Amino acid sequence: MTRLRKLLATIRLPAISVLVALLVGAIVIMLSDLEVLGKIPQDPLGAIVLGVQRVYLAYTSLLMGAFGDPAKFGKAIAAGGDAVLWAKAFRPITETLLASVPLMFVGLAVMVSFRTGVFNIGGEGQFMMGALGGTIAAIVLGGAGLPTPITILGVVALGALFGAAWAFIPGILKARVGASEVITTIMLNYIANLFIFFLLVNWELIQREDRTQPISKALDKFVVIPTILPIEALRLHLGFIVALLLAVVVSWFLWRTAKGFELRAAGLNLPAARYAGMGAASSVVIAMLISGAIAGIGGAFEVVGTVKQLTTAISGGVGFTAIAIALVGGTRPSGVVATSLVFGALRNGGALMGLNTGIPIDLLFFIQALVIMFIAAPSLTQRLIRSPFKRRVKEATA
Amino acid sequence: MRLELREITKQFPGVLANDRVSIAVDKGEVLGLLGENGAGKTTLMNILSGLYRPDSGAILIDGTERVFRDPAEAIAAGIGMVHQHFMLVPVFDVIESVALGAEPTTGPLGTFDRATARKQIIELSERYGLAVDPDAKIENLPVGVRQRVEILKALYRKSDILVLDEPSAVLTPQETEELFEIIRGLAKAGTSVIFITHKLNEVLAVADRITVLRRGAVAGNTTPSKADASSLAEMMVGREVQLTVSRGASKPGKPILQVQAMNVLDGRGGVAVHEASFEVHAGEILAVAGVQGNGQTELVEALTGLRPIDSGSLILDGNHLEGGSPRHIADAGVAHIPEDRSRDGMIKGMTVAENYVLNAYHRPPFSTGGRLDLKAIAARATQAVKDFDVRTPSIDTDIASLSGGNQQKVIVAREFGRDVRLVVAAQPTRGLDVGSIEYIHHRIVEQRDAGAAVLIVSTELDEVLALGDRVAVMYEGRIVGILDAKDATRERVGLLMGGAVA
Amino acid sequence: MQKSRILALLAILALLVAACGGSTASPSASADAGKADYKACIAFDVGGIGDKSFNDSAYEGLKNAEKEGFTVAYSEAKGATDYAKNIQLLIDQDCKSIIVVGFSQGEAVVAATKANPEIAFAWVDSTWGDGEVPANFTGLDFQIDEASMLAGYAAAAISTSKVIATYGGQPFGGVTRFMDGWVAGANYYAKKTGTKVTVLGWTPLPRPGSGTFAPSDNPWGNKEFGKTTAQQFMSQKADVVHPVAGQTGEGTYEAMLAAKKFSVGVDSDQCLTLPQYCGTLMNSAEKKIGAVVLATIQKNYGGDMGGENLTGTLANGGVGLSAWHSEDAAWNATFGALITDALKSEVDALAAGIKDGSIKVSDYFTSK
Repeated sequence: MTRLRKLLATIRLPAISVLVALLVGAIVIMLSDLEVLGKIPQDPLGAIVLGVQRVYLAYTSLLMGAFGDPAKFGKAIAAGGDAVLWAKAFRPITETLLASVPLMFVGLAVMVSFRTGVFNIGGEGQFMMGALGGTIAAIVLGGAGLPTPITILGVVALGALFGAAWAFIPGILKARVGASEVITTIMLNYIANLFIFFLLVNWELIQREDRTQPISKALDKFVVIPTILPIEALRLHLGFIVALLLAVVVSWFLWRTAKGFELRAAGLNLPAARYAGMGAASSVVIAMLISGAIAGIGGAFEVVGTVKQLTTAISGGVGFTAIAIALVGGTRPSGVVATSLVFGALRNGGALMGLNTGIPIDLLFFIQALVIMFIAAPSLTQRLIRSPFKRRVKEATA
Repeated sequence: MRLELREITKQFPGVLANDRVSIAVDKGEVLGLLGENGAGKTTLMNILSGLYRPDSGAILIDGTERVFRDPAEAIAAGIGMVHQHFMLVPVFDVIESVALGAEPTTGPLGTFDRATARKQIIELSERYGLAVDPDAKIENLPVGVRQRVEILKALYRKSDILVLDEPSAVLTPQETEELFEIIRGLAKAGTSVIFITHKLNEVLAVADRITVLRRGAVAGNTTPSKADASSLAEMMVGREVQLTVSRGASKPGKPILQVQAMNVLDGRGGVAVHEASFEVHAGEILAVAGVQGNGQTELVEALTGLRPIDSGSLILDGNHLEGGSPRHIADAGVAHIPEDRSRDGMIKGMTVAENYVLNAYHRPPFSTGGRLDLKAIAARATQAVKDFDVRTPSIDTDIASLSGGNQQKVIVAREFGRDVRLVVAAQPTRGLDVGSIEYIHHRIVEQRDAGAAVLIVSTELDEVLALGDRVAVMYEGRIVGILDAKDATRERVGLLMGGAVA
Repeated sequence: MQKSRILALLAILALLVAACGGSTASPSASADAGKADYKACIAFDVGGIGDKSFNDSAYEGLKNAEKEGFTVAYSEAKGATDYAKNIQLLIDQDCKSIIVVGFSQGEAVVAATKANPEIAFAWVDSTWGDGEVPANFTGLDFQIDEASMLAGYAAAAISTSKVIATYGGQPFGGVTRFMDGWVAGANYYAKKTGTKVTVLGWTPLPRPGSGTFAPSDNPWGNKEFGKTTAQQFMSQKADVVHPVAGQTGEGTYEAMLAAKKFSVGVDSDQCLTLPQYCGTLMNSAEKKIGAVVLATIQKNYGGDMGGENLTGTLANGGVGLSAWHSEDAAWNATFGALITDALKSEVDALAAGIKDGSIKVSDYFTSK
């Protein structure tokens, strides 16, 4: 009971923030609809009705895009064992899970560094470098005809290694010469992007054979990450399970090991950590290595498992969304997983919303930004929610 | 002017900071406002200076009710605040600092009329006996003089009521005495003064009347002629308090800590500790006195491995420890109660139990093979909380939500919870209530009696004199004198603190 | 109290929705039912709709298809992770003809093509490179250097300093092909007239060539870079600039317009999409993507699902130099006197030469 209450108290603010953000989003949908705006002068009520209608269509599309269409489930049940129909019914929800996988990886990565007091803005670059490592491993190991499990292990290992190496640079710079990791990690994001671009057009090993464009070879020719659902057409893969496992491992590491204790101590109060005899500089480096490795594994799974081809668009801003996810998730692994699922649902549902209504998916990024803002300013959110009611209650009783 | 605060009540979430508090000060009177940290003194003064609005109650000046919506209105009404932490710009000179915000102007462009300001300031300082060089840069002035600048600032704004918040915290005894002279002069000239402090003898020395606050409410009103230190302390704490530390004579054994010709740099290119040499023996307390910022902080950091030693030696039980890491030195048997409790001594956001194992988490029984043993940690922490009388809802409570005294008890429990050869305690009772001070002092003496060497650094002369078997005084990075307790009178130590040669 | 208010609010919303439900279907064109049942779709790449260029041209084609009576839909990616998902989404929406825009979407197109033989796929700006082209696939590539060679020729002709310039968003084939043609046009002019022409920003040989490109963090939307680069080129005497960098180019147009110098647009007829710059845009090297998209949809609807890689050329009308906008006042003020009928016919003659194969773009990569 108390545990449930505790949980409710923890998710109250994020939940309220999401709801308020969706409400603001609804207003934006109405006010950005030219037809609704045009109607306001002659027929204000009609305009509101039309506006609500538009919002309703948008948000039902969002929900169906993220979690599935009841009608399609009905069809699938009626038809019995038709795999195609089942796939259609379940695809939205599995795609939501899949969309959340990179967010989980990088969210966890960023979370570990935040817990250690290191503001790693370089999740983007570490993710990209991990994707590069995964690509190379897939092509080399898969190309050499090694068994799939070994190739996948190689993909994960090289992804982790590349990500960690990329994170090591700002880590050691901060520990040794005090260079701000915010600046160095951001710069390394650009460098990662450029570096991968350079390799994609100059390195025969990875560049697609028949192209001058910056795209890699098709990776599914070398190795396929196994999917985890019984319906073959649903492409949710092993990466999802690895992400969840990593969340558990990270949680165990931070709260159940001496090293994790050190990292958390350093993150909360560096002078006190030093006073207590902990090596503060090594904490920074270790945190960055772990952070980079997790982001790198995320990149490796994304490129080999989901996209199956390396381009410079592989990251798509995941490093920045991950910062929000780590903060919204209360820098806890469980919170990161939960927030990733919500953001994954927005991202995935947004595609159908865009398709059905023409509302660009950017609205969802706007809503995400609002969520972050509301969580960053809890008192504002409380006031937004409470005061109109409170005031009216007061007026009513007066 | 007569100022009256009538029935002031202020509620913060979870705390009733002021509960129907009434105080009054007459023209030319000095009111001593006494209370422990958290008794509601600061809240009351923030209400007076317009930073907070009271939930109920009234502020009356010469019998008329006034409402201050912001600090500017309070200043306009003649109320001048001198804060504990000075609000001066280091690179300004005295004239600029005093006139800032109330500058006389001249010419069509409204440029700063320096000459007029200068004349007014010299006049003020002469009238009230506040000797200050008007052209000196703030950064070059000693702390006591900076405080005068703050007082001048208030007078310059035509304050009839002057509020001094813990004014003696940064002063030597001699400077404090000079401050009292100034306060008496101000009162004679008709200024009303509210003097806020937690030091009993100060109110007795300077106040005409005394109001004591306890837990947000007025615990009593008295005058210096009717009260003495112990009756005031009782009023402040709510029970009888032992003001002097009861302790037997020390039985010094062999030297445990030997410091020889130690130099420590301050990290800004200067020397913070200069050729320090002293010994601390088993079973004795060496108390280091000095005004804040005379190298004590750096000395303690050097002794505990937090700051590199530039030259000289640090010997514990005959072993050289120069260049040792904090962990190495702690493992050699040094307990360290740090000066800045919040910054160094504990980690807010971590639980009481986690803070209890902060420097022992990495070894058995708290962890084995890199894995924390949460059960062992909980068991030991529970025992420590009991042993050291830490008032906390649970060992899993965030240490940030504990009172200062209980936080310090967690730190002391941690540091004293193992075999200790040397105790290094810096400002061990700063900001604590009288009850906690009593307790911490008792524990420190207990360590001495158990045979540990104890080094206490304190800027509170009372504490130094109460605890020290020997008293060392630091001034500008040097140990300018080491006195036996019987020779360490308030006057002698005070003179040394001010730089006089022993 | 609070709860009941929220419930009341929800009830009102529900009523509003119920009151106006059922009227959401919009009656579109009244064309034949076959087209209305045929859903044609586009999967856009990152930074798609609104680029006033490449993607917008494709969107134009889709809108024209809608006018013809087709049912249409589109999706837009925000990162590589969306590619396959968006294409699958279109498949699940029963799209019959899916046009994928952007080379980055490579693997997603290939996989979808193989997995859905009953759906026609087309891939704009790329071709099938992996053995025999599947029957349900159309590759759409553009020999854009043919068009930009015409532009380069005309630019060299109107330049008073005989210095012209170009730059790209990122250095890969789809971009540098424009720049190749631009250089070739200038060299052709130089050879024909015996005047020395200098081209800044791109040297095609030795392969892969070298030149000026936008910073990689924001290659296609960096108007500031477009502006400063143009100013830099002008300080080196260039008076005609051809940016090949999406919206980055708008900064260039702005700077050139302010300096009363000239530019050449990219991908689509930019005097139409960015009319405020007609006063500096001589014309544009255009991929007729809109037309190609519409033609592909029509072709697929007619039963031809593909099985080929198509290359748009001057000869088949897939690429071209956009019209001279002499009807536009701003254009006329700048170019009316410069673009003489003689020049127009010289350009036409060059176009004819390229079309019939007598003039090859790659023969003019150097001025020798």
